[in-house]
Amino acid sequence: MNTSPDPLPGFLQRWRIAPPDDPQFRTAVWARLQAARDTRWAAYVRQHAAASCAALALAVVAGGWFGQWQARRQATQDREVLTTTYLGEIDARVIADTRAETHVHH
Amino acid sequence: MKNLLLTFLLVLAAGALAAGAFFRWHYDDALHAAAQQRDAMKWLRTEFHLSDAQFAAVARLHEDYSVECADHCAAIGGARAALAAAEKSGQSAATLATLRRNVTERELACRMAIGLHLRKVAALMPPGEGERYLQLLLPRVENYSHQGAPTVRLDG
Repeated sequence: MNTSPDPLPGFLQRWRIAPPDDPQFRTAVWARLQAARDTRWAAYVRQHAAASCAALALAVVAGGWFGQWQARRQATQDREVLTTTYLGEIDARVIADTRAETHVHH
Repeated sequence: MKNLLLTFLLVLAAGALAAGAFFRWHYDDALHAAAQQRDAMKWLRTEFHLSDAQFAAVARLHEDYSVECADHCAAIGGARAALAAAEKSGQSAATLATLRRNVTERELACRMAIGLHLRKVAALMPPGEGERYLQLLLPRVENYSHQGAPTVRLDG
């Protein structure tokens, strides 16, 4: 029967690790985490490809319609201002109104 | 959940980008600049695609018309002032009716003159643009109301 003491605990107590300094360690870890995250999102989109594409198409169409509507609305307002300004310069009745209003205000 | 949120944000950004792009595409810089400067002549030039020669002719016509316009303005102003004074001093109904008729006649003469002037301007414009110009302005001249500014909603 072997009665000699187990050398493993002593060995483990003495065991020291001295890894080489790596200044890029933290950056590398974050880069790997980011890569993993990116992969997960890409995978998510691939899994929901139909819904993602539909949502994107809807957003682009709705956004495009809204942008066009806003531009036309602006143009309508601008035309309204300019038509009123123009007639205010050539319509003597409007000019007389404006003068009367100015006279009242003063 | 994070992926859903990220996807939602990206879709939202794409929508905003499309809105911005379409707004810029349909936005009329020249029209807006003219409106901000209240520059009706600049607007006429761009809106109705006038050449330099056409624009010069229209400007000359406006210049000539401004003299006639000033006469109408003075006549209308005088007639309205006379009516207002008569109303204030409690003149007879017959006098007020005469003065009101005078105002109406002056305004009618003015309306006829503007109509004629607009048609002369339209005749100087490129084909098609003159009609559009008249369609835009004649109803406003016809629908003028002394109670307030001319009311016409512009379409498109």
